[in-house]
Amino acid sequence: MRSISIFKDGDHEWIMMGRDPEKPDQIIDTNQYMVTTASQAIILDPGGIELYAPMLAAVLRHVPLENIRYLFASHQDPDIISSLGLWDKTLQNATLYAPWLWESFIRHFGMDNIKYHSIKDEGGSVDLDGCTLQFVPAHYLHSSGNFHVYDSRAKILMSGDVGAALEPISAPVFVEDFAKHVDYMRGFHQRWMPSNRAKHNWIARVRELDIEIMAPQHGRLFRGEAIAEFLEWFSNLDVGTAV
Amino acid sequence: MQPAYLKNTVSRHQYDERVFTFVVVANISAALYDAQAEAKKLSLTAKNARVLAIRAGELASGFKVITNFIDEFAHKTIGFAEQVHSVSLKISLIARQTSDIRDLIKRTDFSLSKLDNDIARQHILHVREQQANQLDEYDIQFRKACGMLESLLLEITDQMRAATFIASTSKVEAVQAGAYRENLNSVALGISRASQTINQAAKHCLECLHSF
Repeated sequence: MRSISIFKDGDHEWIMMGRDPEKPDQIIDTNQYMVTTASQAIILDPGGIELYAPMLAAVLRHVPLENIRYLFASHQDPDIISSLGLWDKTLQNATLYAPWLWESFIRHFGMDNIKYHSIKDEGGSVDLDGCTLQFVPAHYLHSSGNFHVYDSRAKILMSGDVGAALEPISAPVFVEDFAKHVDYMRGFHQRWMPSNRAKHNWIARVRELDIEIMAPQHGRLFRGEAIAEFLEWFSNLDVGTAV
Repeated sequence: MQPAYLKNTVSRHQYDERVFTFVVVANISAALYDAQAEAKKLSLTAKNARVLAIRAGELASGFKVITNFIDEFAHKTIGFAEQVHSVSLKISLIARQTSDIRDLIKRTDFSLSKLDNDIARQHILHVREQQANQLDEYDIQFRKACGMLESLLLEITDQMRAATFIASTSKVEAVQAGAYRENLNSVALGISRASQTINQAAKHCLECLHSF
């Protein structure tokens, strides 16, 4: 599994983990993110059970296990958090931040040691050595209880399935030509995002944030001009088209 | 600065049996990642050293021969680290399969304790036997992969012994290189540092492996 630093300022770092050439072909490629500060770390959407072993190895390249104090699950899907049962046995003192709506469902993945911190519908935050990460509501995008993560210091928005693209793992890390990239995103967003109202609500809130990198859970990341291009494109896209 | 992998304690009592193997293998993989990065730097050092040796001409004729050794040694180390990574992945896979089958056996035993129908019990006992055989098979595979991993790690530590020798020879050659002495000395120092880092990583991996 590759691990790529996408932001670094002193001890504060964002690392993207994914594009694993050893991943079984049948499972969808996912981007995991880890935010580290001087003595703490949070893993955002730690991934499915199949990814646990390579993820653990990738994480240990950067921080000792005791620093991993928090996990975050944007929603309940297996590619997001089905590895929870194994992390639960690995981390001695950790808290999972996840939507309140999914608590009794997510616990099915196995959770004896990790504490569940329910995120209320309106959002919340977590503090890592003075660095605050905000949980931004993204309900119905695509899950009925869904959050994204915004770091105002790094100016990064981890946008879950919004901005996701299905393409080979050899794809570059960042979107280079937005017009070409649209083909990898259109079908995914039309089918997986059920509500135009939820979409517009999210876009309005995200436009108020100062974002330099938008980091989805699948495919390439957006930076600079590509973020505005994405918001414009998404705003005009009709979603929930399966019915 | 101390690498992150060295800050992890790997003791059996600290972790659940289910994840202990994963933590050990992840530590090995993280340490070897550092070693591989060091070997890549060394390969670059060899290229720079070769340019220097050519520029120094007769003054560094001995050094020129040494650069070939450094390059070869760096490539071998990268190759070993790649193999270690691949065997580590295999061990992780076997560990997950072992963990799954153990879990399954536990659940099968629970079903058996609830059954009072003899025919159904016989059927489940047969399934239970198959599961136990599968567990034995995974155990054999696990030991075999660990043996393979140990041999590779020992090869890396052997390589590092050779590197220490190359570093000392390089220092001797640097003394005779006149104006290029400082440059070649820093190359020798680079080899020495790299071999120490890689050796430390390989020894850490062996310690991890012996904790099984």
